[in-house]
Amino acid sequence: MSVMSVPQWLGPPGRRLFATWHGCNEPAGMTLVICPPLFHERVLGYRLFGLLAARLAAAGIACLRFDYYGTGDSAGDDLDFSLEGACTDIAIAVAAARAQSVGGGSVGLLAVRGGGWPAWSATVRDPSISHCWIWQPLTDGAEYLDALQRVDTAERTVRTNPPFCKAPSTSRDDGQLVGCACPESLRRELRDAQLPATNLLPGTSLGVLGRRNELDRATFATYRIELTESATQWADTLKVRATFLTKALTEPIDRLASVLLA
Amino acid sequence: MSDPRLIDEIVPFADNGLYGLLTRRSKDPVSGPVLVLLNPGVIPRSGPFRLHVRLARRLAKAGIATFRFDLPGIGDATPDTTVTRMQAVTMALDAVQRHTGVNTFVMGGLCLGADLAWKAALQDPRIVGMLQIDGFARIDYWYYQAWAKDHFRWPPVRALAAIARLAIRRLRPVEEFGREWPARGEERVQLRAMLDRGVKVFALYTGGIAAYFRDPRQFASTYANAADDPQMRFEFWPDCDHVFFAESDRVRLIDAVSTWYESAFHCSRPVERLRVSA
Repeated sequence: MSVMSVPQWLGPPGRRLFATWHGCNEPAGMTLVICPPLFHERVLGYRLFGLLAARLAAAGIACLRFDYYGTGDSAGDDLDFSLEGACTDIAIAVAAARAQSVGGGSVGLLAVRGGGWPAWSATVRDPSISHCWIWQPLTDGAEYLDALQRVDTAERTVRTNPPFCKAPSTSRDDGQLVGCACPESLRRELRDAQLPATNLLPGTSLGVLGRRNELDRATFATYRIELTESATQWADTLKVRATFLTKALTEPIDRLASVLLA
Repeated sequence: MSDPRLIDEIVPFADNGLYGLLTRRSKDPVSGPVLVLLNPGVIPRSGPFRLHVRLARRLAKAGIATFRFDLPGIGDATPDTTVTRMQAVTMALDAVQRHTGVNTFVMGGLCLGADLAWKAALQDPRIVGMLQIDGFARIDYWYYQAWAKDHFRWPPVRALAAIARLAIRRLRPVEEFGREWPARGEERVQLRAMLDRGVKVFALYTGGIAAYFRDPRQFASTYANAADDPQMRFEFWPDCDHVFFAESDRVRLIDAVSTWYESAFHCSRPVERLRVSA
């Protein structure tokens, strides 16, 4: 795998997004924009989806990874992130990916978990997006918000045990969720988020990768690729772990590549 | 960057795709030592909960440039690089020096990042400062005293279980913490050599490393006379965890680092104080 990644800035001066372009040695068969997950999961999956992009690029699928406005290395304060804003960012990334794609093939999205909500909206708004794939899809935003709140409560509880003897600064009223800014406006967006949302245009290829139970819930998908338990554990913890592309990951990534290039 | 006065520049530093981001004021040339932030363990360069990005932007407003990058094997670093972590640090400093013309640096890191910053500062005379967050300390009498104080207010069964765990841990070498620390006794010699060279140090310990640090007196017992050197600044935040999960802790850290930087390296503009949001 000797495909070089190229860091770059996307978007207008007021909305600069940090991105990494994983080009192909040959003209690309297609181009995929990778829409990262939300909150702490962005950091947990950062290396994993970088390696995934490199592998897809080596297989002939150029990839563009980026950080939403207000997250990662992109411009904006933490409080600036919103699902609607993420949808705008995806449109910026799609335009940039299309401009850089040498092969001139189709452009699709690969959204990770919560990134599926803005990716779906972006696909509805832009008929030129031919594929929308979601890795470990989250169907119900309210359910996800509840799950995050449980994790948040557990983490705050751990941190109030000795020797962490604090109470005031771990107040649940600090506008934070799992260590990330989460204003009420974002909570509202999450509560309303659903998959499937508005109908996609006919002809849009829709696929999911996930555990068996996630595939069962994703009845809206045309294509399904099952992930083993070990391939999905990156999102099960708050702790960032060293990431390697094991067989449990390379097999579904290669299957995804062959479906996309078929 | 949302603040038009600031700019993030991509600075490549190796032919095989290693690069970092230099955050600085957009109009002014970079002056004074550049803060270089290393990965905390395997956390990408943006830091835990985006801490490095926010710290860089805060410092940039005061005219201080910050460089953050991913070490080999972490974040965006290309998977097939043969560059070692220490080589990557040296290459990063070379690249920032070429890019900015500045030849002095402050190495900052949390946890494993602190360990690497220490090693780099030992080797590279361009490094004039160190930010050590949850860096090295020896377990000593003060540690056990604090440990006992913490545990004996627990219910007896829980306290006994903790004593058993401690006894087991006592039998293991310190290396089992997964850290890269100097050999016993070397730390004082190494620190003295760096202080004699003029290196300024901000050593901050949190309550999140209770496995080896629980009492501020451990700092003095680890470094002996060097702990009291005017170039050293030491703080212990027992109510803060290892990755700054609480927003209030992140704000506190950014303020503390900014204030230290301003006083230690006389940056051009006063550092703005942060307020906890919400």
